[in-house]
Amino acid sequence: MVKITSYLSAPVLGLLALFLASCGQEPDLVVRISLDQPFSEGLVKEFENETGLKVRAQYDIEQSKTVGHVRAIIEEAKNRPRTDVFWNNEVAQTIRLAELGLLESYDSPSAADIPEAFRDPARQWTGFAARARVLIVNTDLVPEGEGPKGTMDLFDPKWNGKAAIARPLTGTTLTHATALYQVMGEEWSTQFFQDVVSGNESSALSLPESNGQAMRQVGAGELAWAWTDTDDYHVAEEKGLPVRRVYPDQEAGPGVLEAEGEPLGTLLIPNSIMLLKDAPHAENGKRFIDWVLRREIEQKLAESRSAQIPVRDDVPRPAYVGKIGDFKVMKVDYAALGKSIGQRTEELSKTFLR
Amino acid sequence: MSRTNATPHPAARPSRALFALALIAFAVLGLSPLAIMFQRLAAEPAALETLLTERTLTLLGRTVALGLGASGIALALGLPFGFLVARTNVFGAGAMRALGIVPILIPPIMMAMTWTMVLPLRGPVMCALILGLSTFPLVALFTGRAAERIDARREEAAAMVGGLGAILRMELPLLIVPALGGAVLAFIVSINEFALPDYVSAVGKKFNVYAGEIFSNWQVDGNEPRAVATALPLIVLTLLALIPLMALRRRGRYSTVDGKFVAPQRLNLGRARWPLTFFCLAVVTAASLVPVGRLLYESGGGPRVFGGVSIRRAAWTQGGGAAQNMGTVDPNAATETKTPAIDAQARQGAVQASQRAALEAAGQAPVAGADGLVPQMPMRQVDLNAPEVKAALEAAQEDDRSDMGGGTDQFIANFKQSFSRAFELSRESLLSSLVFALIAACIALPIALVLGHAIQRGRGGGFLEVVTLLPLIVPATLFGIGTIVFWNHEWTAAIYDSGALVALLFAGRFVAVATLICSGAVASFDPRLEESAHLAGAGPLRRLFSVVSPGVWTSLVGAWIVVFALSIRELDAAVLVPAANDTAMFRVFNAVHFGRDDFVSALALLVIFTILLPGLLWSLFSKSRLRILP
Repeated sequence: MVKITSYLSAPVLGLLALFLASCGQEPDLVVRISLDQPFSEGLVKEFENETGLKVRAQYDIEQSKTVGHVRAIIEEAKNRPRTDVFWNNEVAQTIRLAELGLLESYDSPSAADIPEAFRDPARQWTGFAARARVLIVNTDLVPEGEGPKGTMDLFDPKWNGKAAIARPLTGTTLTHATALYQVMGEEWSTQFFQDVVSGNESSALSLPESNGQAMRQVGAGELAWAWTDTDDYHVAEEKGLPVRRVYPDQEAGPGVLEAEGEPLGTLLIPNSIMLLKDAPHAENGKRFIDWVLRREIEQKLAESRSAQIPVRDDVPRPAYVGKIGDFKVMKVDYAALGKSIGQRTEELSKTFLR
Repeated sequence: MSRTNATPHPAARPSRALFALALIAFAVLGLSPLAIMFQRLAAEPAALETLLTERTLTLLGRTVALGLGASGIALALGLPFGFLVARTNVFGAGAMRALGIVPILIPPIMMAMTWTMVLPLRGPVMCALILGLSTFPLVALFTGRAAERIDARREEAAAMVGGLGAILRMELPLLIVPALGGAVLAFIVSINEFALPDYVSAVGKKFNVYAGEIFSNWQVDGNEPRAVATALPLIVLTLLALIPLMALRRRGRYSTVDGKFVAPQRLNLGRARWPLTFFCLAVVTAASLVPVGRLLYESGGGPRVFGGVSIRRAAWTQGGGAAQNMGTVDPNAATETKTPAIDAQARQGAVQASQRAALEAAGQAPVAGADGLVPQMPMRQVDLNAPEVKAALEAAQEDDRSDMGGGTDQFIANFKQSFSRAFELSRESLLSSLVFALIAACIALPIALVLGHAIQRGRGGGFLEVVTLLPLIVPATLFGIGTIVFWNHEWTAAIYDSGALVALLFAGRFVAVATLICSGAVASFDPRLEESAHLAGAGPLRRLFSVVSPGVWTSLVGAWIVVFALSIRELDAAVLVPAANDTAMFRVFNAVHFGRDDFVSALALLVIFTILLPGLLWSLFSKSRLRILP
């Protein structure tokens, strides 16, 4: 028989040591970031090196987009806010947080030259470094000039079984769907998404779990084309996958969606950064916001693999990133979009989860 | 050791103080996050009214069908496999038995990533197949252990009557209940899976399951009570499956031991030995070796080295691939890989141009496919005489020579490089995962031992057993959010703001598994030994730790290892907690977003190795066999 002491001492001592070790030092700043970790982690480390501040950065994973950060921020705020800054890779959920009264106004001096269109009038959030919703097309499968041109190509029998859009229940695809409701109206959008589901049920089009997966499948030739974001597209291009990018709904024609007689344009989704209400390290949070909104960081984001499009026209960028004026942009009221995203999520869940 | 089903002597009952302590610890870690969430539902019971609509019932029905399909496959594979490797003379039975446990420790999504590369199947059939392969070890474990506990005298009697056939006819009814027990667990794992069906049905018709509905409901403001309510059907379904299983276990239907047990010998399969060895090998290959082998193959750049895929991809990956996406890469490391410092766009244009030139030289022309789509070469206009394109072209061709067609030597070189890179980039994450899992297992084990003992020896054990399962059977998102709400207070700030919360979350969620293992072990421990210790003057604490624990110590180690392994692979609940950010699983999932590059496969293998590490160490250095089942 082994004595009780020998059974208990080792695990208990080990446990205590590990438990204490895990408690660690409290960070100087807590940031939640939904821009993909591979793109944002290096910048956070750069900020740490430059300022000497210890940052706890919470990234998310593709499967938990939205639910992860926004839900955690909402729940934390009910008892004891722990997050200082939220760097969101889109803007609708940001407005949702603003609507819930969880954001603090901060007029960052670094944002002075950011166009007003990308700034909240109350300065509760600031937009920067945008992505566009584009079509990624497999160049081995689709000759130039014969590819898709816009939203309605999803239903073209030519692409039967070869086209895709990520299920619009999270992330930028949800924002995109909500924008369509706003621009095209309730009736049209409801019918559109029902048609998408019907198309999927007849295997005419696919519904990948995410834009990243859509990109991978087009790159691998499993699909001819799909909706994705410019950052995912650019990763595919960098990897040397046989792909090209199409800005959708630019010129009137087959497959192109029109609103009020005009092509709809491409949805632009800026990153947004905000200071949380009652942030425990508000001053450090402001320093981080100032740092992220600097022109150099927007340039770095443009030069990075995520190829974000600077919202300031004069920020230097690689030629392939392009400028906002290079393509027709979909006209969206982001504030209204953020207010309606909860309701749309519920409706779209009912449409797509069945 | 024999099992006694009679009511235990009061001397074998647990210490009240110790039980109360363990119960409080369990309530804090495992039940409080749930209580807080269900309190919201209680405040708004109207949320229950819209719970079961035609749509959600369809989802639920589909989920049950998936669970039945997966558990059916698990049963079909696990029952014969478990019996054969535990009780017969198939070649390499011991090694195959150990390898047979591996699939349950590999995250199902990793299984999906490899199997979708191997088989063209998609949709519900593929989901059920992958989940069946993933969960068959549960059936095999139960079956194997039950087969080992069949008394040799029964077998001898059957053998005298009708040889091997009679033995099998006699044993099948004894094995079917434990095997069904394992299948029920496979069913439970399958119906709670959300990411895998989503991943597997990415192309073609979408296969939605009920767990997606739960996830979706968390996104709507003011919808928390409904989100909690949505989880109820799956919880009820899980309990409905578990309660008969536990009742059978408590009635001793899993144990075939009676009186003075005589351990059986391995059965001689005669001429069937080779084909049945082949069957076991096929199962192990499909469930363990294919996923791990595929990851090993990819880690060495196998698809490029042996498969000769796109020159462009070779050029990119040789330059560091997704590792450069990680953002933390040492700038000096890039020079080690001799990546040409050229503009990426020019590089791609050059490699495309080189490919086009190669195609033209080979006289290849685009041919219309059956689907009417015309494969063709990239159309980017490239000025082949531009200096940067020339440089890029040379670099890409150099990459090509070094990365493709290099055979085994190149494969080994790539393999080393990708592992070194994966380790370099994820060392801290692996360490964090290791520390969190170690703490979680150390916290869970003493609680589980006391609760497991109380389940078997105390009053109301059946009820207690159901309660201990609750943290495990609720959806991970609900448990994660409940943990945030419960621990985020001023007086618990030191825990909430630190990694300690992650360990507590893991311990709270997985203590149920450890309790089940401990409870099973205590059930097989003769209570008369505790009575004797009582008569000798030993108190309840001493009896538990000095009499019971040494008697079931291999099961205790088994429980510790299982909690450790589950903690390493946990992601869904942990992703909500700030301090869980830097775990290895987190890294794998974020890296895989951009594709299956060499280093991502290497990283996945490192995670799998970490999960298996304690079990491997035990196998190497201990003479005793690890016991997860009594």
